[in-house]
Amino acid sequence: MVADIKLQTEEPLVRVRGLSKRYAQGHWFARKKYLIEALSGVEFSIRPRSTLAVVGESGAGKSTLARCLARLEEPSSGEIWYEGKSLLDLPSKDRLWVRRQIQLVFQDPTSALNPRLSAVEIVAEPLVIHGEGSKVDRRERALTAMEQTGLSPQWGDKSPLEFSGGQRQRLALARALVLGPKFLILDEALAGLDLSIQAQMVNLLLDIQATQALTYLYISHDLALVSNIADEVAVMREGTIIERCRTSELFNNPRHLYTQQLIASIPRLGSHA
Amino acid sequence: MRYFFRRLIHTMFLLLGVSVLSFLFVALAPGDYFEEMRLNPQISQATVAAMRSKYGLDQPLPKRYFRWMQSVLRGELGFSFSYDTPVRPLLVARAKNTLLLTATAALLSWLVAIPLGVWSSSRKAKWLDRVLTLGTTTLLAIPDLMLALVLLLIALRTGWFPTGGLHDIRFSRLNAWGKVEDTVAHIFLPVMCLVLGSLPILFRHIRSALVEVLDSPFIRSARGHGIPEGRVLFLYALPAAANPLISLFGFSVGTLLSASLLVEVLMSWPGIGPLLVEAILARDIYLVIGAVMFSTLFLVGGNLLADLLLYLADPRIRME
Amino acid sequence: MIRDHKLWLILAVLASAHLIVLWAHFFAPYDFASQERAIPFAPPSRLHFVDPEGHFHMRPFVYLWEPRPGTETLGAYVEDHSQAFPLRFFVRGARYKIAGIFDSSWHLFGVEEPARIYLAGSDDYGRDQFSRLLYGGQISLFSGLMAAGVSLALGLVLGALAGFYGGLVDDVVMRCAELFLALPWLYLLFAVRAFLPLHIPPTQAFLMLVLVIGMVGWARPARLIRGVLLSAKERNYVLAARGFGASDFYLLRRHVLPEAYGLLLTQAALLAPQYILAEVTLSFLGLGVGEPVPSWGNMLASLQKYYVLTSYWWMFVPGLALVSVFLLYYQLCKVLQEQVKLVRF
Repeated sequence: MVADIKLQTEEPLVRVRGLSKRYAQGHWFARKKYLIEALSGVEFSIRPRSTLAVVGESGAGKSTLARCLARLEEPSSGEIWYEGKSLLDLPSKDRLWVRRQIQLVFQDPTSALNPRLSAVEIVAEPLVIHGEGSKVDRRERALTAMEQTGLSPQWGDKSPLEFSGGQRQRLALARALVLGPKFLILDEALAGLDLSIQAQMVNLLLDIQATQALTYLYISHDLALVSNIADEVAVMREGTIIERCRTSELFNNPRHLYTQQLIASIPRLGSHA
Repeated sequence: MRYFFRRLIHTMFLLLGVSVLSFLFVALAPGDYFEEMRLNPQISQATVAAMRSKYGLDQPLPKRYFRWMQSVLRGELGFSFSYDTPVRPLLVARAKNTLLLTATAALLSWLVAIPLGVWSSSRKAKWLDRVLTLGTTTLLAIPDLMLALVLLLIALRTGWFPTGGLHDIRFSRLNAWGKVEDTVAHIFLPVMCLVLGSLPILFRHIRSALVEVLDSPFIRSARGHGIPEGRVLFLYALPAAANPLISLFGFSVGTLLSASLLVEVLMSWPGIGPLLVEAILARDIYLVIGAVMFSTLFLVGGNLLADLLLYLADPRIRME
Repeated sequence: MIRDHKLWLILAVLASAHLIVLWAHFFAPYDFASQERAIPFAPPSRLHFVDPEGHFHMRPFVYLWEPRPGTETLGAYVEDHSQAFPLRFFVRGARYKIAGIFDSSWHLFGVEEPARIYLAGSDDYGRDQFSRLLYGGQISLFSGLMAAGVSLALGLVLGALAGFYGGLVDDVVMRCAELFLALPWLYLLFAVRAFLPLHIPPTQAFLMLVLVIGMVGWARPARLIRGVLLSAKERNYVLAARGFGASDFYLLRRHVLPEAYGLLLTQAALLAPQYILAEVTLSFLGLGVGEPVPSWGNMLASLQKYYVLTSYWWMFVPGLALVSVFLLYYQLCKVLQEQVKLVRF
């Protein structure tokens, strides 16, 4: 109980209120435009150094949420607060600062890494964009970031095509970390990897979170994986969050029918169909 | 049906766009038909000015466009200064000849290209395929201009074929069979040139389309069932490769039209080509615009035909 | 880098052809306009090593062409064996200017006056076809190359605008491209040409050809580039870079445009011969560069007269040059298409 009260009082790092995103479909001069509502009134907050997992089936609006938070898409309405600042009407001098604070890691590392560049060029890219350091300096920092994610600096000049799937995701993670962000959005970052590699990556993510005081928003459709990494889980369906609670609570006492179905669908050894 | 209706409207917009584009070029162009007259000391400046105003050349461009549109709706397509008649009858007479030439050439080149392409693809990397591929590569590098000149040279040296025009002077006195014979003799050379010019491209596309299809599992299983090779090639593989080839047909109409422009001029075939060149040299702008519009019409017609064929050939499109 | 000997060989041959043509005033023995009215349609000079007495000479020589006695036909010539004119290298001849500044009169080869050396015969004014071929190449080869440059530049800018920004820009640009593609392109080219003055000085005519040909052909490369950029900009690494705060300019330069480089190269190799042919066609029909300045097109134009076509085979020489250049470009195109897929730019 005591801990709970403490948690309640701590100022959240990210707070989202009434976030909505609608896409208009159809031609620009077509009279009939129909709207697709990807997000409608999403609300949540994340405490510093904690992990919130957002789960839901595909098409629930998880990736749209990630892109809105990473400022890759403009939400139709709602508010996003980060460290007490509203991201949607930020003074232009703070825009690059936010880009430094919030990073997104994509599901498919292969398409997220430009095959024309070398590993170290990829990791150093955020530094180039932010105009930081000399060329030598940038390379040094990129190699350090690679080392943090368990990649040998000797591989720096390789093409990302020469890396395995897990290594590529480590590379993408290194790139996300190189600017020293505080908030990482992992959009299905471990989906598509082998189970053993997933486990390694979960450990890596937890390590990095502890050492660098990171906050995670972990987006997944895989409830089993979520139970290993998240402090809290939000269940999303059709663009809204229908249930939100601590991870242990969710598994022991799912309130929403849909959540129960999700949990029941986790494959278990020895379970009967 | 709605699909073709949509295509038709699209075509109308396209033609409208082409006409606006042509008029824009007119606006940017210095000088006109009567410019030459002005240099002639025997014609007074007042006469030139009067003629210019008679044909509306002194009017601002939008007004001229509007007047031209009116004449299009009357079915005249503007007025030719050098022939002193409306443009349409001039063009229609010529367009028939161009149509005869390009349609014959299109038909023939497809009739030759399909068996060659199929044959070559079924003997991939054997000597026949190599010879055909090498031959078409070489042919590809010989521009229509050179083909036409060489063919003309052969015709002149051997005297086997008449080297120009549409008919012999005795044409009107010939009987029906003689007329056909005479036309075939006259059309042979330009058609030959167009066929040789378009053959390599068609051959290559047909070959590569078929090579791709022949690699697919359903062909391998058909062969495995012991279905005769000719049947596999023409009844199984060719229809499966039809879609890209039909699209290619629409495209080939365009290249044939462009090629025929030059061939017509060189072999004095009385089509749109020589008329266009003449009109350009005489600065007869409405005739130029008319010729361009007609050629666009042909091309669009070819594409519509390709769409129709695609519609008939592909059940997936019919379902939509 | 590309490690393909065939590619470099083709490029080297093409480049040297362009260079020779560019320095035509040195490689050509005569000026393109210098006439020898007494001997129209002289056949190519024969290089002799053995004189009438049967002596062998290390240095080849030519004889004067003389009209065949007793014939009235044009171009019936016999060699005048009374005097031999040895072929000499690095000789002084017609004066010209290097880069428009330095005066020079050096030529790679020549023979002493009054003899003339015609490597590819002479035309109806007795002008040296070989010299005219080189000078004509300046117009024909470079107008094609430069027009391809114009088309690709236009296609790149418009295709990039359409593909990268999408929306209204995309719609407008692509409708325009459709319009240009809906026209048979030679007709379009002629139409645009129709609205420009007929008789213009050679330099202007050259520039006009480059611009007209280049501008008429922008639509296809623009469409292809748009297609490439459309898929390139959707790649996650572009989104990722955007997430780091990259500007549009950075994204285009670093991630999106490099995808189009391979396409640009193959398109250049495809368009250049097509545009050379366009120039040749226009000049052939008298709509391009006019006499006395040669282009391969207006050199071939004399073949429109049947007696030239049937009697003087050397008038086909520009056509042979054209076909060889085409073969080179097509081979280049083929090799590039194979290579571009494998290459990191």
